Amino acid sequence: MQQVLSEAKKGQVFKLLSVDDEGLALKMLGFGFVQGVELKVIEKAPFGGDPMVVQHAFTKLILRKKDTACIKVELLNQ
Amino acid sequence: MEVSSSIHTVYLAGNPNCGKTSLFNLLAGLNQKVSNIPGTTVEKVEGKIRLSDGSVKTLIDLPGAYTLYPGSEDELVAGRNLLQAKNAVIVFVADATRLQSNLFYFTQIADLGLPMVLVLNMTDVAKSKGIVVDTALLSQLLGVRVVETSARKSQGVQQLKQVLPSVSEAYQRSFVDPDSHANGNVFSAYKLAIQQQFDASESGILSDELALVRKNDATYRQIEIQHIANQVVDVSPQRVSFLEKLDSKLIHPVWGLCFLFLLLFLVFQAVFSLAELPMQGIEWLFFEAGSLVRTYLSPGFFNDLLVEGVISGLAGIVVFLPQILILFFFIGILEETGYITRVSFLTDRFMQRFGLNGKSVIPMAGGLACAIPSVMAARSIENKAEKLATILITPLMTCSARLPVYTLLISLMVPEEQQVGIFNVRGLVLMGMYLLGFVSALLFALLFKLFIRAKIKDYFVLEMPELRPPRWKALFINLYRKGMTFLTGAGKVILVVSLLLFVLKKYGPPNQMNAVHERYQALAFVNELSEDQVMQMEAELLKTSYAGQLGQLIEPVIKPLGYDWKIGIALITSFAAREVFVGTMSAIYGVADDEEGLGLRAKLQSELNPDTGKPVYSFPVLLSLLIFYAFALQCMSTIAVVYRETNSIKWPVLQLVMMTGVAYLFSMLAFNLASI
Repeated sequence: MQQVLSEAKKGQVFKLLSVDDEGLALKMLGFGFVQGVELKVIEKAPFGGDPMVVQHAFTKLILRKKDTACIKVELLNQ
Repeated sequence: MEVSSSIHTVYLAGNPNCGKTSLFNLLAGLNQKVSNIPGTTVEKVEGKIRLSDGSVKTLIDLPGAYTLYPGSEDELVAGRNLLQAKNAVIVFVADATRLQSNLFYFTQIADLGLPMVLVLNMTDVAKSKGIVVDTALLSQLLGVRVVETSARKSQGVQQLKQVLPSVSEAYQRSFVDPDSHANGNVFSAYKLAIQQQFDASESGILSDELALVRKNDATYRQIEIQHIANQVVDVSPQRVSFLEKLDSKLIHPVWGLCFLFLLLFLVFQAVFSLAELPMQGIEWLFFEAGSLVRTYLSPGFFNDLLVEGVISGLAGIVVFLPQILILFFFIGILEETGYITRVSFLTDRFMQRFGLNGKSVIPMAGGLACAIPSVMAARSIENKAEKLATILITPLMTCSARLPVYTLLISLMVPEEQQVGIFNVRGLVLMGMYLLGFVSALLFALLFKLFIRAKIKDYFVLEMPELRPPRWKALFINLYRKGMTFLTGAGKVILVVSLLLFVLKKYGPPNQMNAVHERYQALAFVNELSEDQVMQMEAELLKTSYAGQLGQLIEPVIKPLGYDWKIGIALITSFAAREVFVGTMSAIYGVADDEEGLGLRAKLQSELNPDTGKPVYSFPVLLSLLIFYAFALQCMSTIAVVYRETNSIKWPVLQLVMMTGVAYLFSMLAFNLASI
């Protein structure tokens, strides 16, 4: 099922489909967050889950809601 | 091929948090030269390395970076150095636990065609996480010598020194999409393209065309890297470690926030209670030194200068060293463990509301030590509007220069040893002042937001490093450096101001000063002067002196705040730096020259208003002073650094007017309300 990352819940694992923002996509590429990799939502911050910590391999990134809203993902499991 | 002699320089490059600096320390030892790269806040660290063939090379630790497409000042500096490198070997340090993402920067540097060695650092940590890297295969696939190290455990360093002399040939393999630079030499075409990207990043204008080049290049690289990583990295699931379990609690929305508040609370209690004893010791030491000079040196100008100028000035600086060191110690632990990034995560949403950013927490926390380096630390914030807001509000955070002022005022306000439950009341008031600083910083951010316009789209992508135990050696070296910076940096200003003040206090318009002397000499001729008369004479002399005249000149302006001309002198001198307030007060009240062994606190407590006979340092005056120092921009260096960082006279002036204006208003309000 396809969705945007900003609506993800803590603990969910996704496949990264696309980043619909060139600048953001480039930034994430530098950290190894490429199309097709597995992402896990590690934690969502207080005050409405913004920002969130997303992990791929052993790299954890802190991303804001306005940015995760343009990241398309596919849910793999709960 | 023996070309080792043509290599002069060894560069250490790699991502932030890859253990590069630890490795540098192991390779270069203590023989390091730290200098600021001109026009930047980036430090250049240089040392010497002796290789196993006996040759000595220059070793340069480049700032940590993620990419050659520069997005920060660190990346610009690192990239510039790499582009201009000649007769050099690049030692690329990769974190074995994050090999795949580290390789991105590696391939970009590799394509510059310089001799390279890949250091696989933190291999011990990787193994404990169940990550096994096939280094032989990695070496073969990348076409580069690979050395495994663990900088923390000092492993692999000798091997690196043995490998380095044999590495002199340019790197051969290319990671550039062969279709993108179809014509001619791939390396030179790539170098030209990177140069273009650099110029674009420096000017801040990145055309769509260049952005597309970046993205295509990055995508091609990542596919290649993934292909390599899949073959060499083997991960077997491990039990969750203690630190990982702890980390999940530290970033938890509820437990994480609870812990953060508890931590801040404990730190402030510690700063106050742990520092008390060493502070008393230092006060005693300087008092004894003063008495010694008085006893063994013949009385006169030089004796007075030494005791009233130099010793009391020095005492005013050194006495605050314990508190500053304790605070820096705790901030150091937060930085070393990586906890500070967790704070950014927990607070980002909250900070966004004020036009700030989770990364603002770092300059703001640094502002607890000193606004000057912290304003510069705001450079790591990519969002321009949020960066400017951070620069403007950082000086409101309670810096260590305010600490001496607060300590003095609070100890006058709150009787010793007063407790509420298990809490020290002085500690609570101090914490209140820190809270006031923080809250007003946020409110000022809203205020400044009205003046800041932002148009460029920015991203907030922050890597969260592993939680790790602090490296104590690095922490203490840093602590020592910061302590010395305080003593020599602030110390110089305070000492000069103390000496200047001593002269201004000692001398006045000659005929007026003589008139006072003659009047009391006439009295003494009749009868020996009583103790009261001697004190009266001294007070009159101070009032007549140049310092006294200066204070009286501004007295009408500060009277509504409850201050007299003596405080006026201290307000003027402490515009240089806040902590000068305390030194000035010591000088005005001649503390080191005190036979009864009373410190400045006691002197101030017993000071009576000659007109009303009531204590000068009453509760309303102390409160008014506390508030004044919380808000007023009493720091010339901050103004200078904000001017430099914003490259405009508008922002520092706005900052000065707003902060000192609010200080004046609130102090007046507090004084009048408390006086009712």
